Amino acid sequence: MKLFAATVVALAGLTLTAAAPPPDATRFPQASMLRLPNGVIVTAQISSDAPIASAAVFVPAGLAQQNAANAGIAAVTAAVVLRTPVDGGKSVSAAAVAAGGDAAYTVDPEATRFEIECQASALPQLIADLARALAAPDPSQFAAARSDVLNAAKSDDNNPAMVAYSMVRQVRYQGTGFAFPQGGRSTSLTRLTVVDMQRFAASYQYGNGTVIALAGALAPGEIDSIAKPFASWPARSAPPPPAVTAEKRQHEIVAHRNVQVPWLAVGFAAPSQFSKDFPTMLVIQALLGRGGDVHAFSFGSSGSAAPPDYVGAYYQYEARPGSFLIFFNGASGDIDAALKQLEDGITRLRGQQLPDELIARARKLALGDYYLSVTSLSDAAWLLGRSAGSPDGVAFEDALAARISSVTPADVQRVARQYLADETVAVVLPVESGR
Amino acid sequence: MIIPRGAIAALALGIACVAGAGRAASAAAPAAAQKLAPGESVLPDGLTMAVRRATLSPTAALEVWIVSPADGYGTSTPGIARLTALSVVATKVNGQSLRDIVHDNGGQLMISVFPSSTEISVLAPGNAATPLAQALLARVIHPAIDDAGFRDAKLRLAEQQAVASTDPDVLLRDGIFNQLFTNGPFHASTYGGPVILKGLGLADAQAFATAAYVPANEIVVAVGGGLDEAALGAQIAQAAPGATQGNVMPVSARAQGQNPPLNAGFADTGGVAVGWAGPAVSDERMSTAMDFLSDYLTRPDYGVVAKAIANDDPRAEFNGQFITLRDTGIFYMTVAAGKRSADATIAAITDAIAPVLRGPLPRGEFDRALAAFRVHTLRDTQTPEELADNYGWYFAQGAPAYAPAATDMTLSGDYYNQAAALTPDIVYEAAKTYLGVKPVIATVAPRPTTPATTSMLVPGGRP
Repeated sequence: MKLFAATVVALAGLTLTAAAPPPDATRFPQASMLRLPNGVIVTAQISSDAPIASAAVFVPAGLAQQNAANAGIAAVTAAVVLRTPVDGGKSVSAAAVAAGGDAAYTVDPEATRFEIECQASALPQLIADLARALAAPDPSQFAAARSDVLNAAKSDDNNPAMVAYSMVRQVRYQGTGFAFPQGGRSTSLTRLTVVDMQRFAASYQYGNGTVIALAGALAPGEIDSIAKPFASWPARSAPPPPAVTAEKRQHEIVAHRNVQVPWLAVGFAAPSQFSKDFPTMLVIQALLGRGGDVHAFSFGSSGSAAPPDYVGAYYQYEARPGSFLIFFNGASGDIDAALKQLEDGITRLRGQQLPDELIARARKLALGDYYLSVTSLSDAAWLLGRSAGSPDGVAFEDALAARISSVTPADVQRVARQYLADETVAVVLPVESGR
Repeated sequence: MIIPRGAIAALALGIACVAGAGRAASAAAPAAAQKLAPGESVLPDGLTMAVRRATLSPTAALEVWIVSPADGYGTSTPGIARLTALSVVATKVNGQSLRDIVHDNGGQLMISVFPSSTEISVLAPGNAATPLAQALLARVIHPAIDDAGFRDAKLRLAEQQAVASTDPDVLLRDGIFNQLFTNGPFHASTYGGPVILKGLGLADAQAFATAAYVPANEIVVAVGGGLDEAALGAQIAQAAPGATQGNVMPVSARAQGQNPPLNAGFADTGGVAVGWAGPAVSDERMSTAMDFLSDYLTRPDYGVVAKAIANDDPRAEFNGQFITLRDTGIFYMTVAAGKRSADATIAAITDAIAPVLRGPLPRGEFDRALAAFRVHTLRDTQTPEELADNYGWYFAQGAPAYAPAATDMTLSGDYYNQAAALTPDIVYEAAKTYLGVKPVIATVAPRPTTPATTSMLVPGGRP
């Protein structure tokens, strides 16, 4: 909240300091990229700092591919995969943990992402185990996996920030599975069957759209052996997720929860990550208030990432279209005043070209946020996987930095006019205030 | 010991060096004749520096660690180190504070205060590493504090005190240290309290900076993906001030005998902590064995105590670790927000650690756990920030070459050599010696619920 308020105040008319020179370039480490005949992409960034490595395996079925009847199936299927026995009766997760590593899943808007981090020499075997589990998730693990997801989903329902985020998605992503709570609803979860799980797991099996991204101390031979289990996947492309109809009117929706103070999220449409307007939107995010990164609200093995007191901006750019939200917590200050600041800030963004100095500062913040989002091997594997799946390929990483650095005041005004309108306002009120 | 970022952030509370049983200890200027880690060097004025190009990250961790007592050099003044660090980063020179400069360059500034050291760090985007290193060195190696910066710091510290005073983990850890030491920087909270804060003035912070921020007490660490090591080294050397006599760390005496459980106050939730005194860092064999035990017992989702607590009560928040310190390490565990009573929680912890006290681990289990321990340690020291923290921490404990971060692909270095030499018998010896004694105990109680109204006319209102 503080960050947000401070930045919007700046936007509303603060004294600007002198413009700094444009930032020097920093380059991401060189990456290799191999496309198997069936379309699976295997990409790697090698380091020789320590004998550990991280892998992110993206399969092309995620939240958007669910429907109203099976909401929650993406998480349940991923949980079954990690519970599937593969190594002497040990599950994928247990095999990774026993070796000092970790295996986890995250359900993204259009993909399910499995991550494994471990000693580098153990990675090929663990990835082979994962591939086996992906191909044949163990039906006997279904009930336990569903129970895990159900508990995590219930926990989300008590998190006001998650509730507000869910409400905004419900309006803005109608017609796709991304409109439902990420862990599903208890009603849909209890109706799921093993057959639903197997059907969803079958939708992982597309060569085109599957990306294996590796970061760490791996030798070329190890990369080859990691690719091998995926070479037999069918050479076909995943069907595109259902299209979202653009929201052209304002909405205000209200829910009541057991919270002490009101919560509020204002959501707008936003460019998705491979749009030409993406770098400009990152600069707008810096102007309106830096918040968490794109995974701040993700749902995965450990439930949801979002802290219950989340405030500030959140840019979900993995979905198509993306969305941009600002969260307010009644305990952090005067919501009405903060909303007025947001309104004034957006009016200014849309109404006039901002001074070069202010845009230069925002570019620096956006670039800083971009670089600072990649500190661990796991971060590097995720970013590399995203880039490899982009139209630019692995060059996307450096290209995005350059594109952020060249955003102009005119770009900011144009993108603000295009996207920052027709907002959805989600209000979460204490139970007492409505009854 | 590895200091995960979470621990450092939460820790705020601290750790550090202490005396052996029944004796008082003092830390001399840390740079004196220490075995350094590869990549570290000491400049003529006593300033130590470590520069390492590492990781795939397009960021750089730039840190200055100042070995100094959190409660000051004379009369114990808890909070003075934190207040000084906050003042240094808030004071404007040529219209900009260090905080402003870091923010404007897209970086992040962090301050962590431990009982015997202060860390001021910048996480810099790679493109801004050079100007941010320059700013950090200028402002911290040559500290200046003015009235406006001091007032800003005082407000921030008051806010931090308020937050810390409700955090069960902070209170419990403070309680354990308070139990294990009778005086000195390890006895008191690094936050201090509102009464002392109110009485502190600009001159106090300036005097502390003059005494503590001297080259012999400091290490500058830079770790990052795209660093020009030679240029950065030259930049640090150029910024180094003249030699100044370092001050001696005040004594923290170990408590004798067994104290009754300490009630550490009220927090957002109730909780209990147990703590044991461990070996000095100079006993690298035992310290490494304690790290192994810490991993085996307390690592989240893996350690046997962590899992035992979670299995019985998924809502309970468990934390634990061995903290490597110059003179006496500390092994502690905290459980907050659980449904069980303090006594039942302590009994559950006692049951869970019993197998390591009964005898050496079976060879197969030990070998598996040792391999996992090594991988955990590598994973916990992988980001520029984690690596830099690790160099800084072990410098502050007077054992820079023993830092786990000081290794390579072949796992060379003192730490991994010690890990490779561990045996089930050595680990059992460490467990028996240090965890086989009765722990000190601290508890916190949930804060009483305040009625929403004081009206006598509303049900539930205060009469």
